Amino acid sequence: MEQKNIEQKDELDLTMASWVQEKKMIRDEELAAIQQKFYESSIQSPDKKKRQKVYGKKYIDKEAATLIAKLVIGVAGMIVAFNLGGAITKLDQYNHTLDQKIERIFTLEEQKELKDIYHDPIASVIEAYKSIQTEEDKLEESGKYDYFGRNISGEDKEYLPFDEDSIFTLTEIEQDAIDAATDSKIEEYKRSVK
Amino acid sequence: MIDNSRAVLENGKEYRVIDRIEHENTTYIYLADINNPQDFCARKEIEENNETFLVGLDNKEEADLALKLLVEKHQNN
Repeated sequence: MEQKNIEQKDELDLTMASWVQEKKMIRDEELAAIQQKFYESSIQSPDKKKRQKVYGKKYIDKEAATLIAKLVIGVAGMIVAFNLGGAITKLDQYNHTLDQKIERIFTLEEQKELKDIYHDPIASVIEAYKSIQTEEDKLEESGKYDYFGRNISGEDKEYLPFDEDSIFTLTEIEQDAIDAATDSKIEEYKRSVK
Repeated sequence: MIDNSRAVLENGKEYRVIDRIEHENTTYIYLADINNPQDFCARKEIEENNETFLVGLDNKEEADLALKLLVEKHQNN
Protein backbone atom coordinates (compact mmCIF):
# COMPACT_ATOMS: atom_id res chain seq x y z
CA MET A 1 0.00 0.00 0.00
CA GLU A 2 2.83 2.38 0.89
CA GLN A 3 4.54 1.67 -2.43
CA LYS A 4 1.29 2.43 -4.22
CA ASN A 5 0.99 5.75 -2.36
CA ILE A 6 4.55 6.66 -3.35
CA GLU A 7 3.81 5.79 -6.98
CA GLN A 8 0.62 7.82 -6.91
CA LYS A 9 2.49 10.79 -5.47
CA ASP A 10 5.18 10.47 -8.14
CA GLU A 11 2.50 10.31 -10.78
CA LEU A 12 0.83 13.40 -9.33
CA ASP A 13 4.16 15.20 -9.26
CA LEU A 14 4.79 14.33 -12.91
CA THR A 15 1.29 15.39 -13.84
CA MET A 16 1.72 18.65 -12.00
CA ALA A 17 5.01 19.36 -13.73
CA SER A 18 3.42 18.56 -17.10
CA TRP A 19 0.60 20.93 -16.31
CA VAL A 20 3.10 23.62 -15.41
CA GLN A 21 4.84 23.23 -18.74
CA GLU A 22 1.58 23.13 -20.64
CA LYS A 23 -0.27 25.76 -18.69
CA LYS A 24 2.52 28.28 -18.67
CA MET A 25 0.46 29.88 -21.39
CA ILE A 26 -2.17 30.87 -18.81
CA ARG A 27 -1.97 34.59 -18.48
CA ASP A 28 -1.07 35.94 -15.10
CA GLU A 29 -4.16 38.10 -15.32
CA GLU A 30 -6.46 35.08 -15.38
CA LEU A 31 -4.87 33.58 -12.30
CA ALA A 32 -4.96 36.92 -10.55
CA ALA A 33 -8.68 37.37 -11.34
CA ILE A 34 -9.57 33.96 -9.93
CA GLN A 35 -7.56 34.54 -6.81
CA GLN A 36 -8.80 38.11 -6.39
CA LYS A 37 -12.47 37.10 -6.49
CA PHE A 38 -11.93 34.64 -3.66
CA TYR A 39 -10.08 37.26 -1.60
CA GLU A 40 -12.80 39.88 -2.14
CA SER A 41 -15.53 37.46 -1.15
CA SER A 42 -13.74 36.05 1.89
CA ILE A 43 -11.69 38.82 3.50
CA GLN A 44 -13.38 41.44 5.61
CA SER A 45 -11.32 44.31 6.94
CA PRO A 46 -11.47 44.77 10.74
CA ASP A 47 -13.43 48.02 10.51
CA LYS A 48 -16.04 46.49 8.20
CA LYS A 49 -16.21 43.04 9.66
CA LYS A 50 -19.61 41.92 10.80
CA ARG A 51 -20.40 38.86 12.80
CA GLN A 52 -23.25 37.19 11.11
CA LYS A 53 -25.41 35.06 13.25
CA VAL A 54 -26.40 31.72 11.82
CA TYR A 55 -28.58 29.10 13.35
CA GLY A 56 -26.59 26.19 14.66
CA LYS A 57 -23.32 24.73 13.45
CA LYS A 58 -22.98 24.52 9.71
CA TYR A 59 -22.89 21.15 8.03
CA ILE A 60 -21.74 20.15 4.59
CA ASP A 61 -24.51 20.17 2.02
CA LYS A 62 -25.37 16.71 0.78
CA GLU A 63 -24.71 17.87 -2.76
CA ALA A 64 -21.30 19.28 -1.85
CA ALA A 65 -19.32 16.48 -3.47
CA THR A 66 -21.27 16.91 -6.71
CA LEU A 67 -20.87 20.68 -6.55
CA ILE A 68 -17.14 20.48 -6.06
CA ALA A 69 -16.90 18.01 -8.94
CA LYS A 70 -18.88 20.42 -11.14
CA LEU A 71 -16.88 23.48 -10.23
CA VAL A 72 -14.28 22.85 -12.93
CA ILE A 73 -13.66 26.46 -13.64
CA GLY A 74 -14.55 27.62 -10.12
CA VAL A 75 -13.24 25.57 -7.20
CA ALA A 76 -11.30 22.94 -9.11
CA GLY A 77 -9.99 25.49 -11.57
CA MET A 78 -8.95 27.66 -8.70
CA ILE A 79 -7.35 24.72 -6.94
CA VAL A 80 -5.44 23.96 -10.13
CA ALA A 81 -4.75 27.66 -10.70
CA PHE A 82 -3.57 28.09 -7.13
CA ASN A 83 -1.31 25.07 -7.37
CA LEU A 84 -0.13 25.99 -10.83
CA GLY A 85 0.48 29.60 -9.91
CA GLY A 86 2.55 28.54 -6.95
CA ALA A 87 4.35 25.90 -9.01
CA ILE A 88 5.07 28.34 -11.83
CA THR A 89 6.48 30.86 -9.37
CA LYS A 90 8.69 28.20 -7.81
CA LEU A 91 10.03 27.03 -11.15
CA ASP A 92 10.60 30.58 -12.37
CA GLN A 93 12.60 31.33 -9.24
CA TYR A 94 14.48 28.03 -9.57
CA ASN A 95 15.49 28.89 -13.14
CA HIS A 96 16.39 32.45 -12.21
CA THR A 97 18.49 31.32 -9.24
CA LEU A 98 20.19 28.62 -11.30
CA ASP A 99 21.09 31.09 -14.06
CA GLN A 100 22.55 33.52 -11.53
CA LYS A 101 24.71 30.81 -9.99
CA ILE A 102 25.84 29.47 -13.38
CA GLU A 103 26.87 32.94 -14.51
CA ARG A 104 28.74 33.55 -11.28
CA ILE A 105 30.65 30.28 -11.17
CA PHE A 106 31.33 29.10 -14.72
CA THR A 107 33.19 30.58 -17.68
CA LEU A 108 31.28 31.75 -20.73
CA GLU A 109 32.30 28.66 -22.62
CA GLU A 110 31.20 26.37 -19.82
CA GLN A 111 27.91 28.25 -19.51
CA LYS A 112 27.17 27.56 -23.17
CA GLU A 113 28.04 23.91 -22.75
CA LEU A 114 25.79 23.60 -19.71
CA LYS A 115 22.86 25.23 -21.44
CA ASP A 116 23.21 22.78 -24.34
CA ILE A 117 22.55 19.97 -21.88
CA TYR A 118 18.90 21.06 -21.73
CA HIS A 119 17.79 19.53 -24.97
CA ASP A 120 14.53 18.21 -23.52
CA PRO A 121 12.58 21.05 -21.80
CA ILE A 122 9.79 18.81 -20.46
CA ALA A 123 12.22 16.52 -18.66
CA SER A 124 14.02 19.55 -17.25
CA VAL A 125 10.82 21.01 -15.84
CA ILE A 126 9.83 17.72 -14.25
CA GLU A 127 13.31 17.19 -12.81
CA ALA A 128 13.49 20.72 -11.41
CA TYR A 129 10.02 20.52 -9.88
CA LYS A 130 10.71 17.19 -8.21
CA SER A 131 14.06 18.40 -6.85
CA ILE A 132 12.37 21.42 -5.24
CA GLN A 133 9.71 19.18 -3.70
CA THR A 134 12.35 16.78 -2.37
CA GLU A 135 14.27 19.58 -0.68
CA GLU A 136 11.05 20.95 0.85
CA ASP A 137 10.32 17.57 2.40
CA LYS A 138 13.80 17.47 3.92
CA LEU A 139 13.53 21.00 5.29
CA GLU A 140 10.07 20.46 6.76
CA GLU A 141 11.48 17.70 8.93
CA SER A 142 14.15 20.00 10.31
CA GLY A 143 11.73 21.82 12.63
CA LYS A 144 13.14 25.17 11.62
CA TYR A 145 10.01 26.37 9.85
CA ASP A 146 6.51 27.11 11.08
CA TYR A 147 3.27 26.08 9.39
CA PHE A 148 3.39 29.09 7.08
CA GLY A 149 6.86 28.16 5.88
CA ARG A 150 8.59 30.93 7.77
CA ASN A 151 12.06 30.38 9.16
CA ILE A 152 11.84 30.26 12.96
CA SER A 153 15.35 29.02 13.65
CA GLY A 154 16.70 32.48 14.41
CA GLU A 155 19.46 31.96 11.86
CA ASP A 156 20.29 35.00 9.84
CA LYS A 157 19.63 34.30 6.20
CA GLU A 158 19.76 36.54 3.18
CA TYR A 159 17.11 35.42 0.77
CA LEU A 160 17.45 35.50 -2.97
CA PRO A 161 15.15 37.98 -4.70
CA PHE A 162 12.01 36.63 -6.30
CA ASP A 163 9.41 38.05 -8.62
CA GLU A 164 7.67 40.57 -6.42
CA ASP A 165 5.00 41.15 -9.05
CA SER A 166 3.75 37.62 -8.70
CA ILE A 167 0.66 37.15 -6.58
CA PHE A 168 2.15 33.86 -5.41
CA THR A 169 4.84 34.78 -2.95
CA LEU A 170 7.32 32.14 -1.91
CA THR A 171 7.66 31.14 1.70
CA GLU A 172 11.08 30.96 3.28
CA ILE A 173 11.03 27.18 3.23
CA GLU A 174 10.31 27.28 -0.50
CA GLN A 175 13.12 29.75 -1.08
CA ASP A 176 15.52 27.62 0.94
CA ALA A 177 14.41 24.52 -0.96
CA ILE A 178 15.12 26.29 -4.25
CA ASP A 179 18.52 27.37 -2.96
CA ALA A 180 19.37 23.80 -1.94
CA ALA A 181 18.06 22.31 -5.19
CA THR A 182 20.06 24.75 -7.34
CA ASP A 183 23.21 24.16 -5.28
CA SER A 184 22.80 20.46 -5.90
CA LYS A 185 22.41 21.09 -9.64
CA ILE A 186 25.51 23.30 -9.67
CA GLU A 187 27.55 20.52 -8.05
CA GLU A 188 26.31 18.19 -10.75
CA TYR A 189 27.41 20.70 -13.37
CA LYS A 190 30.85 21.03 -11.81
CA ARG A 191 31.34 17.30 -12.09
CA SER A 192 30.18 17.33 -15.72
CA VAL A 193 32.60 20.05 -16.89
CA LYS A 194 35.71 18.55 -15.28
CA MET B 1 -37.07 23.63 9.33
CA ILE B 2 -33.68 25.32 9.28
CA ASP B 3 -31.22 23.79 6.84
CA ASN B 4 -27.80 24.01 8.46
CA SER B 5 -26.11 23.16 5.20
CA ARG B 6 -26.96 26.65 3.92
CA ALA B 7 -26.23 30.18 4.99
CA VAL B 8 -27.41 33.58 3.83
CA LEU B 9 -24.48 35.97 3.89
CA GLU B 10 -24.42 39.71 4.34
CA ASN B 11 -24.88 40.25 0.61
CA GLY B 12 -28.29 38.61 0.82
CA LYS B 13 -27.27 35.60 -1.26
CA GLU B 14 -27.85 32.05 -0.14
CA TYR B 15 -24.86 29.74 -0.10
CA ARG B 16 -24.40 26.02 0.30
CA VAL B 17 -21.73 24.76 2.64
CA ILE B 18 -19.42 22.76 0.42
CA ASP B 19 -16.74 22.02 2.95
CA ARG B 20 -15.77 22.51 6.54
CA ILE B 21 -12.20 22.27 7.75
CA GLU B 22 -10.95 22.59 11.30
CA HIS B 23 -7.46 23.90 11.77
CA GLU B 24 -5.82 24.92 15.05
CA ASN B 25 -9.00 25.84 16.90
CA THR B 26 -10.49 27.60 13.89
CA THR B 27 -13.25 26.18 11.73
CA TYR B 28 -13.23 27.34 8.13
CA ILE B 29 -16.49 27.09 6.23
CA TYR B 30 -16.41 27.06 2.44
CA LEU B 31 -19.54 28.32 0.74
CA ALA B 32 -20.80 28.34 -2.85
CA ASP B 33 -23.63 30.51 -4.16
CA ILE B 34 -26.58 28.19 -4.81
CA ASN B 35 -27.39 30.14 -7.97
CA ASN B 36 -23.79 30.41 -9.17
CA PRO B 37 -21.57 27.65 -7.79
CA GLN B 38 -18.47 29.27 -9.29
CA ASP B 39 -18.91 32.12 -6.82
CA PHE B 40 -17.43 30.71 -3.67
CA CYS B 41 -15.83 32.06 -0.53
CA ALA B 42 -14.65 31.13 2.94
CA ARG B 43 -15.74 32.20 6.41
CA LYS B 44 -14.73 31.36 9.97
CA GLU B 45 -17.27 29.81 12.28
CA ILE B 46 -17.26 30.98 15.86
CA GLU B 47 -19.49 30.15 18.80
CA GLU B 48 -20.31 32.45 21.66
CA ASN B 49 -22.92 31.97 24.38
CA ASN B 50 -24.31 28.99 22.51
CA GLU B 51 -24.80 31.07 19.38
CA THR B 52 -23.04 30.50 16.07
CA PHE B 53 -21.59 33.27 13.96
CA LEU B 54 -19.81 33.45 10.65
CA VAL B 55 -17.09 36.03 10.22
CA GLY B 56 -14.91 36.96 7.28
CA LEU B 57 -11.24 36.16 7.13
CA ASP B 58 -8.76 38.66 8.55
CA ASN B 59 -6.37 39.13 5.68
CA LYS B 60 -4.79 37.68 2.56
CA GLU B 61 -2.55 35.47 4.63
CA GLU B 62 -5.50 33.80 6.24
CA ALA B 63 -7.30 33.53 2.91
CA ASP B 64 -4.23 31.79 1.47
CA LEU B 65 -4.24 29.41 4.43
CA ALA B 66 -7.92 28.62 3.89
CA LEU B 67 -7.23 27.90 0.22
CA LYS B 68 -4.20 25.80 1.08
CA LEU B 69 -6.27 23.69 3.48
CA LEU B 70 -8.91 23.17 0.79
CA VAL B 71 -6.30 22.31 -1.83
CA GLU B 72 -4.55 19.82 0.42
CA LYS B 73 -7.82 18.12 1.23
CA HIS B 74 -9.06 17.75 -2.33
CA GLN B 75 -6.05 17.55 -4.62
CA ASN B 76 -5.61 13.81 -4.15
CA ASN B 77 -9.31 12.96 -4.58
